[in-house]
Amino acid sequence: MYSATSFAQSKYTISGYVRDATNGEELIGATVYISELQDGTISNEYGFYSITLPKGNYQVEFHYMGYVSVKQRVTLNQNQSIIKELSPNALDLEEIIISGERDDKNVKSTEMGTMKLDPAEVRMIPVLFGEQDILKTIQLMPGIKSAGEGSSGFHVRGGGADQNLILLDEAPVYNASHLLGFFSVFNSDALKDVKIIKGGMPAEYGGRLSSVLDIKMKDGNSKGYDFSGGIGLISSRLTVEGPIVKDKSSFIVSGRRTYADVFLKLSSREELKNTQLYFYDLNVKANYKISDKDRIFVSGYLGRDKFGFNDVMGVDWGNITGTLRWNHIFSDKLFSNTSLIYSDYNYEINASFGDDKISILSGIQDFNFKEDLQYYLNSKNTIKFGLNAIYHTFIPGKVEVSSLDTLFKIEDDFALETAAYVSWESEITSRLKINAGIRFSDFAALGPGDVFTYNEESIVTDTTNFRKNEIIENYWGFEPRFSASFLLNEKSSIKASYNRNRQYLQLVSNATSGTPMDAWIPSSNIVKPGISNQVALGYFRNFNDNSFETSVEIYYKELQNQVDYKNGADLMFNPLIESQLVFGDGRAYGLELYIKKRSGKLTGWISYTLARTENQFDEISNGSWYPVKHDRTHDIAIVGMYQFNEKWNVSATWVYNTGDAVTFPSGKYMIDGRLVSYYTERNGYRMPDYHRLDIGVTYYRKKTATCESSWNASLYNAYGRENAYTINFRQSEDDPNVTEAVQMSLFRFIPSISYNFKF
Amino acid sequence: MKSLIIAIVALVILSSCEKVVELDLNSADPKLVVEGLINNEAGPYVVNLTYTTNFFNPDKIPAVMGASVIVSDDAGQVDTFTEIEDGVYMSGHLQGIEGRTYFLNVIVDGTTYSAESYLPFERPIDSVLSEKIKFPGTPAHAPKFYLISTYFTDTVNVVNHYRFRTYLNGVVIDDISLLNDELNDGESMSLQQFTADFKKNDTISIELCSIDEKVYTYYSTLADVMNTNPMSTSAPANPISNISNGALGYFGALSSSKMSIVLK
Repeated sequence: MYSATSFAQSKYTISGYVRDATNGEELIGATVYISELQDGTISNEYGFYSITLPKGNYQVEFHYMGYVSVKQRVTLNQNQSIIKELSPNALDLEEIIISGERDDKNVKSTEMGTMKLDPAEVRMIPVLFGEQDILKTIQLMPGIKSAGEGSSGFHVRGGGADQNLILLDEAPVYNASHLLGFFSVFNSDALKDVKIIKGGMPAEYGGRLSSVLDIKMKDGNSKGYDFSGGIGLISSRLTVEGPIVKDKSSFIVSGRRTYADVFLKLSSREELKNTQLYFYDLNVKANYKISDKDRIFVSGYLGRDKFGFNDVMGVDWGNITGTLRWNHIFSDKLFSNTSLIYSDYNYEINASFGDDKISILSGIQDFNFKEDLQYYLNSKNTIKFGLNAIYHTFIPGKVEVSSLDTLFKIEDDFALETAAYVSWESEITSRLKINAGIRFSDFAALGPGDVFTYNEESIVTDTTNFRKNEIIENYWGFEPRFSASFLLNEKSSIKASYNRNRQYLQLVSNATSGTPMDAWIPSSNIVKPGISNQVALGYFRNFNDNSFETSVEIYYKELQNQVDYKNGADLMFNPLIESQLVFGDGRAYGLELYIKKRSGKLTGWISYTLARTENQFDEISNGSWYPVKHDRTHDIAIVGMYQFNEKWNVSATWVYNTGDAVTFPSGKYMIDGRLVSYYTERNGYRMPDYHRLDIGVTYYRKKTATCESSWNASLYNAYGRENAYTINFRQSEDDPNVTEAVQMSLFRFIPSISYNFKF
Repeated sequence: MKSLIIAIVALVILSSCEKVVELDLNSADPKLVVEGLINNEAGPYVVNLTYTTNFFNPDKIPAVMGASVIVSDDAGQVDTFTEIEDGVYMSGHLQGIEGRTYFLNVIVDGTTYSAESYLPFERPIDSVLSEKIKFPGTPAHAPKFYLISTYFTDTVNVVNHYRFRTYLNGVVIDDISLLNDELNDGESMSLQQFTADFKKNDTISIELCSIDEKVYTYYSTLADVMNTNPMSTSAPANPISNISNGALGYFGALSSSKMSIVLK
């Protein structure tokens, strides 16, 4: 009797960090497994883990994909801190031993609709102009669709391109594309971990309806200096990382710049010579371990696109983000992270006319405070809770003319977005795991400013003036989140999830995606916050000792308060832009299949999505449901990588999707001597089906102790498919009564070569 | 502007290619298209009635024959138009007068279509000036082109909408430049045009038309459809017509003033 109570009371905690032995980077999602209890935990996004066990002797195993596992015997009679460093596997894939416990996370965790990308794998996949790009790679996953040829915009399970919460070290990135969307702002060299969540979002994420793309930057090598980089056709990259104080503090600086404009200078054509066209990125991060319990991180991103034509007209736009974080371990069971975050996105258009210079500035700026706490109650229960407050400033448009004073300025908008959440992850039985959470969010549109109300004909009927920080409109709501997994056997599970999300800022875009001039519009007296409800069900199964991973997921998503422009909307710097909007609902449902081969000489995956996405607006197509532009019935991606030997690797991807829904004319007529198209319904036609094959070859030079390098060659659109980018209609030059359809396609046979090094 | 940027970027960096493709488009039921204008100059005025046709139909646009077309105003004028050729209906005694509202009534196959439009007061053009400037940002020796500036004064406390027509030696070269006084009510306003098409000794005529708001909306939404570029605009839609019963086109009353200069 005595021994039983004593046993129940004597519980101790093992906590610590899991790191990469070569560079000291914390490993996110590493498994800590107690073989005697068949129980374990995983390290969090800062590499921290904590597990509480009864007193005893245990073998503790540390596992991480692509790393050599480590086992350690522990006599647990007091709380212990174990910092474990794991070494990466050698490149030779045949030597990798697949172990049952570590590679079945996809089956056993409650996460569904979640994909992780390994930056090393991204490197092998052939891409346009050889620019590695995680946003392009995630578009090869089921349920994630590209917004168009060469675009870094994406749609998750039918959601809009603005419904993705894109976080770079916790800072929201408002425009993730460079060069009108052909490249993303993420420089793969500086990234450590990329995770996308399509459904069943945990309660700690909020603010967007459809997905979370959570990107973590590297912390920087704390063991020694590293220089790495690449030289490509379009851009070059250089990364420097190293310790500031060995094992205590490190930094990383990574930069990238394109040089298409340098080639333009060489052009013999005057108009090309005077064209300015480039972008650059700079990622900087440093961290300092104050003590075993405290660590601070400072990270920043700066990226800018410059486009200018003859000094007559120029556009330049970009993001700036900054994050200051403090990790604190209150006790071996309670982990805290406090973040102060700054995000800024703006664009500026400059034009000169005669002696007048006109500049138009628009943007969004955030100050963001976040507090996240993780409490490791015991080996079966973890509780997460936290707070978030964001102060937004929206600059819809400021026009300045050099010869006049400010010509006119649309009033800035201000808002305070706050949220609190709690979630509970629990192993109810050895087969059933749940993650239940709730998020409360509030959005207050704040003064100062004039607020308009409109009648049905978009005429201002009333204007109310609000003082500074006076609440114009307040919205709030609860966002329940739930996911569960039930283990059918060691190799397979079924999972279910439900999530409700609220979004208080919507991007009203009248183009495909990623144009810098799209406007973020906050919720107001006119615009209601978007709400989504999603249910998903999935079956997960691994084969051949976890070397094959497969899943089937189905989802249904309902979207409320979606925004679109009125027909004939007047947009450019309209102070009454809200009068140009219409509001409606959306729905999306689909089936996603995924099979991945994870080991051996041949690796890769096949993903297939069968889906439908529709909107309903009273003002459009007589109020009936119509397909949205990115509604694609079938979407297939096949990715294969073959490692011949230590030196050669070949890879190929093939994608196919149903053409976008598009509005084409169903007739024509004459007005003012012009032929005009007659339209009957929204998005009633389809663009031609899209398909493309890309191939790539990587050659690794002999690796020495201090230096490694590789050559990568790729061919984009290898069989030269002329995919339709746009289809336009025009009067034939020969006979003005004859109309013809003209298809424009981009990117046939784009070869590229790049050289990558590290020393 | 957005489409311009995209077009330039596409030109500069992309290996794009264009080709004529075969598309299978639906044949929508024919719809009535009305095009009627009344102005403050002496009549007669014309109303054109046509039908929509299949998009790839190479034949002439079909005319609507045998319709009844009546235009009246709020001062009691009523005029029945006569069909002078297929689908072209001409007024008799009707005279457009500033400050009156005009009503169109069209009956085709027993269906009535109607519209109304206010004929605004004429705004005179104050001046049309030309100067030769080089394309901004180009080197000092770069060729110079004509910049044409048209000045006029808006009336205070009245909502005004304007449409410009530009004639080069008597031929219309631009007729969809639109302005409104939403942001500069009662101020001096100007339209500036800069093209390489203007040469020495050319006669440039500018016509300033005052139109009502619904006609302005029609022209501006028509301009959107005319510039349809799938990357730059929202899904294309029919221009917002001021005619009832789902007919396409518009009925507009306008007053116009004109001024010409010869380039030196």
